[in-house]
Amino acid sequence: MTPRTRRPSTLTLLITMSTIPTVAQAQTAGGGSAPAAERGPGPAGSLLIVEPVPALPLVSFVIAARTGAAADPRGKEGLAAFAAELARRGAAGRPREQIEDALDGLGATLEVDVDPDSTRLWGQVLVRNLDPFLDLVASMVLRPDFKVEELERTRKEIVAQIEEARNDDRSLCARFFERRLYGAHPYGHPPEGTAASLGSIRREDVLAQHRKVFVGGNLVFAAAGGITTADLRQRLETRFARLATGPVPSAAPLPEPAKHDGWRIQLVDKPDRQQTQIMFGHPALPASHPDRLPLQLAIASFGGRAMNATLMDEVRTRRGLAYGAYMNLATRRGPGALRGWVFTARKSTVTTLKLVLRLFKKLGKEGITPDRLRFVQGYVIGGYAADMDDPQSRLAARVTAEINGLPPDEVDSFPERVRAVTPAAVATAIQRHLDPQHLAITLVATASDLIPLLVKSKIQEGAIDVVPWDKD
Amino acid sequence: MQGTCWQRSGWGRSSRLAALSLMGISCASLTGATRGGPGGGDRSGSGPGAGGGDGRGAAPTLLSETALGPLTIRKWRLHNGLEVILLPDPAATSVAYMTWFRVGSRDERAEAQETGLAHLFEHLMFTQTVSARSPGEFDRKMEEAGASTNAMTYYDFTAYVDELPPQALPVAVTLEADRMSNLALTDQQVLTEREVVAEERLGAVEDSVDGMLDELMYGRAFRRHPYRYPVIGRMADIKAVTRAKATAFYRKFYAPNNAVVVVTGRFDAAAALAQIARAYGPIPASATLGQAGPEIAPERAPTDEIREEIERPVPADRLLIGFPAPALGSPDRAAFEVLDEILTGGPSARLHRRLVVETALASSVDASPAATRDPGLYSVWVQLRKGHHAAEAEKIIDAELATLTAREVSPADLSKAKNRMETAFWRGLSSSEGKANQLGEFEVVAGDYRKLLGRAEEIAAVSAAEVLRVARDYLGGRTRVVMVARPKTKGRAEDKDKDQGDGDGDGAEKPAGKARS
Repeated sequence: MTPRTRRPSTLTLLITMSTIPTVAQAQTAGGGSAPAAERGPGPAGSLLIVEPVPALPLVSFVIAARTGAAADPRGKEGLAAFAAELARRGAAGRPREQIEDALDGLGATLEVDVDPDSTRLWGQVLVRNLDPFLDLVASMVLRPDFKVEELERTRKEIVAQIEEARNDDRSLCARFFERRLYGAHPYGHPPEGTAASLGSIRREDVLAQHRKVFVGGNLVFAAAGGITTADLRQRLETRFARLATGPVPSAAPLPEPAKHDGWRIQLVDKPDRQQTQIMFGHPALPASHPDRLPLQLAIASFGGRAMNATLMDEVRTRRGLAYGAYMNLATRRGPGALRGWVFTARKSTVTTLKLVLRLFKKLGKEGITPDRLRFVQGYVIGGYAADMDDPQSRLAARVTAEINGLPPDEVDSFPERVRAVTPAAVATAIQRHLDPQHLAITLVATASDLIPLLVKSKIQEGAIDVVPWDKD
Repeated sequence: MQGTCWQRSGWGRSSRLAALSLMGISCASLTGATRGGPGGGDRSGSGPGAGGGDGRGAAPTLLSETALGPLTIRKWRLHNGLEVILLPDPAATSVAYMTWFRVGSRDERAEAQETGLAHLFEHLMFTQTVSARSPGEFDRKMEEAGASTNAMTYYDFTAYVDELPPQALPVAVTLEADRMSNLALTDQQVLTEREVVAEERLGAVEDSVDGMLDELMYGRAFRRHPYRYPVIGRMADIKAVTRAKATAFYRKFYAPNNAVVVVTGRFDAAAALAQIARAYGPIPASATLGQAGPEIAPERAPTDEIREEIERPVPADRLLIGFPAPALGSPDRAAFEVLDEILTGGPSARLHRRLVVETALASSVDASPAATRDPGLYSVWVQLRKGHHAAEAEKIIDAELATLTAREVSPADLSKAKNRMETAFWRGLSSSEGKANQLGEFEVVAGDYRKLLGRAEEIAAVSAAEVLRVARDYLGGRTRVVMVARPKTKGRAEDKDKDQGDGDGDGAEKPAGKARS
């Protein structure tokens, strides 16, 4: 039995929405200043970022490649995640079981995380076990085995995990919404792939992917915890001296996603639903766009974590229609996205959907007042203090900023830049980047129950695309 | 989803935070000198941080002082019984301010259809007070100061969480003290929050296979203990909460002598204690707390084997097995945590290795003992792959349990578990919120925050013989609740209330599938 909370945790929200840091993570630096991080060259032309925390007997460690799921070839979606996962399942002649025994024996964790823009190996280890941990990680990067039998086993495991995720309606909604949002754009690739795309991946694909991605100039090494920069650099140079220095994968600008033609409803049909998951939004600007921060503040005012955010106030506090209602701006190296999320009882679906769309349209038309901007600036800057309170969160934010092509001081200067945002800049950003007329909308509900309610409310049945919950 | 990484379940706080909160370490540097006896001996508050009177001129009393590495934890008590735990950390960037009340769903009167009242009341604590009359004033002032607020309710506690920039601490102290005694409820607020909680229940239970299995498991396992009732409450009870019921609950349980304030992060301890004493000092202690009713007798559950199946839209069987588990403060707890780690604590753990890797029956396995004041349940979750059935997984679990109850685990397995738990311990304490959460939980649920730190030494000292003993004691018999959600095999279940969108939320009262015991 889980404790019941006043509202869904931000963590849950972020996991559901995607792994891309958004306002909630980027808006992180406030009251107390975060310790400074040191940056410098890493092995083989890579970048090294370190935040020493002398009192901590733990080290958080990341190797991030600036290549993610967006670069997966069409028809082989999921390749980046598959290859990275397979690298840790057999290296330097040690089979998966031996590697997992060794990592667990050190008390270490090591995970694979792939988003559209990056592939990351990240974990934590006790300082006293850092050397054998780095030995293991280096073997995965430099000498992965990619054995065919492990490839087949891993493929089946990932497919089974995709199936398992269908149990959770929010994950299910996010998976379908993300593809709807971006369509054929590379950001529409499901990072974990599909059963069909995973089935088409061969050993040579994995090998080529690994060789392409793990080259020095494409990598960021980062750590936070009980380690100094000089010490870590020495340990890395020793172990990663053979890291390839070959050509860096092209980071050509991504195309603009196609604009949605008005708005249609994608209805993911799952039996026996009493509640409807609703996601809505559209592609937006890249993280490096000068309008990004003003737009983030506008969206934080509209759908951020505050109980006084417009969506929470109107949907939950005033009307009791939902337990939570949010919108965030997902920031990426390429075009990010505005993504709203609300969930409500079946009988309230139409009312809630119309309400949130009306409020979004109103935001586009009226913007936010100077008083409201001052409020949200204070809240966002304050939230930074908590979000950046632990070294691992700061580390993740710094790596994400680097992946997104942002300046080195992105994390540390965030509060000052938030304070400097003017009402005029917010108004301009809203006017340029909000597009309430062209939306992707995904619902998870039971179609036979919901369609009559939608049709009754004058939503044409032809504007509803029904897809089964247990396919693709 | 990023389903390619190893995770021990992300679905619930009881599995995540409880696991984290129990991590002990073998590092001797963690615990330093501890002053004050068990439960804290009353001594004068003239030590560091003793800041000023409490509004009636009485100085806070220092109860204990404990080292956490280079940091110092101090526990104080005001004259009205409010306990205050302070852990300043100059390296933090924020402050976590938590208020823990020793009231949870265990204190509800299920026979009076009041299940869920503790949780729904937790929502109502964010409405308005006598001194701040406008609705939403609490959230508005906190958010203007840059603070984020949340709260959680469990069987044994209700906790309020404020995450603040350091300069906002005085705002939090003032507002939290105000709502401890001055809450002013309206009928409309109660009606609105009933709807919000009903929505919460729909998503967390009715439309969640895990939520439903979990609720049913507790309902079947316990026969008389209030852990058999869902924390979120039965749907009918949620919709029957009135302002009068909520107000009575507030008057009965929300008092300084039933609460612990925990502050961690970047703040000055002396100034914070002085602010807290001034703000909370005038609040009178409750004289009727001890008259809440007879003490609830612990119940070790289940006492036999109970099986139940339900049908849900799941891709393949979802299996949940509930075994008896020791309470958070039990002397058996450290060894049981080690046992859990050996079974499911990482990619090389026994059940993961057998079910996910070797036999490829399952896509995931996860487990955790509930962090409860009285004996709770040890929940083992398995997601079967398509084409496989729960019985196959149960057979393997039984074989692993037979091994664990037959002979001692190897030194390598023991060492591996302890190393993983040490890493998790530090991870859990790396943020201000993590520190406040764990200190508060151990203080309120286990009876003393120092048990969190003592658990480190306990775990370091756990032997293979102790693991064998607890394995035999708790997992050795066939005392378990086996819950299975099977994929729907035919047309939809009839749902006469579907137009209203109401789940019955019966939890412990009505069977939701085929049951036998």
